[in-house]
Amino acid sequence: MHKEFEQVIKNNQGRIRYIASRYCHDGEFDDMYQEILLQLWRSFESFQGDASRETWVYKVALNTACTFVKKAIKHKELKQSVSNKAANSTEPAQDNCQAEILNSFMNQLNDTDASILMMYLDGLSSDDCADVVGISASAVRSRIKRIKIEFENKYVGE
Amino acid sequence: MKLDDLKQDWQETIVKPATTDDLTEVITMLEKQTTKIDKEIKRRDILEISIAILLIPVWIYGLFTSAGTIQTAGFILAILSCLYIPYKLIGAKKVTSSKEASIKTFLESEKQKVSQQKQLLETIVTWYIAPLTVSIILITLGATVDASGVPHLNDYLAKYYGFLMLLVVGIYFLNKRAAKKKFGPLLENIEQKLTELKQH
Repeated sequence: MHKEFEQVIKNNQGRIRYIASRYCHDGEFDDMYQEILLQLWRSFESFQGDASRETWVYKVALNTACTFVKKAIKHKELKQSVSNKAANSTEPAQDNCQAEILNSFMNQLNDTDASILMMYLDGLSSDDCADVVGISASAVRSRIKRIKIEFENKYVGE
Repeated sequence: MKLDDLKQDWQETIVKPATTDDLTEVITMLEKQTTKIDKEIKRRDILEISIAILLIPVWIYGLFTSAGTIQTAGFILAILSCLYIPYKLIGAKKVTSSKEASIKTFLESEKQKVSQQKQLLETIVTWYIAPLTVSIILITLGATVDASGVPHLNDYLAKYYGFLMLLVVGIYFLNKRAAKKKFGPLLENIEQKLTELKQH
């Protein structure tokens, strides 16, 4: 199970890091990141495989992030271990102009729209996005359409 | 520039930064931490409930050796409180929210859970502190009754009751503040996110 979980984390680390950085407040990145890993680990055994791994990661990570409350008692050892691994990049790399534009646009969106956009850009279908968020696929499509218009209005011609 | 033009870019920079880190240590720590958390939750649940349950035989013994009606009433109230407290705590634990559910379902059950916990903390005096305090008052006051069944409140007991009342009032305000501080912002956050989800 360790190896399988390790592979899931490796394949989804960018997504998890982005979600943690999108939702965390100043100085809370490590705490949120470790909490998401912890929740993924806790529900990994019960993961049925009805949905794709990506959908499952999105659900657990977004649900953990949007109700995250900094714990009074920190898991010191885990935090240290996670921090060592995260030392190279505490936030997703933004090494080009387009990624920076996208990141700045996403920061202007509310959490629901940002989550939908994140999954859309990731290549998830409207049905998968709807499954993660809990709204209808048509509602997802209309939100994506509105987000696209908003983006084009802001960055047209750039 | 269109949003779709950035899809590939996004996937390269955010989604697929393949890591070469060895995560074995992290996973071992996760496993250790999960076991620790589960043990802590189990220990806390057992402690909360067993204190109330373990006191019941003491109150029953007291009931059979009671000095009078006042003390009997105190022991009965204490027994009922010790049955009601675990019932209330177990009931509050029944609302669970799975992180594998959709965000909407999760937030709805989380809202219910947090509201219930907030309400439990705000009303702790009515279902926990007050019944036990009244029981203690009745039991101690019942011990001072004379042959005709009239209680005699001495200075020591009066001071003790005064202190007890201050303690109850203090606990009430501390818990009300804790409920507001601990659950208020979280509940607000959940409600805001649910509103966002309902908008089109």
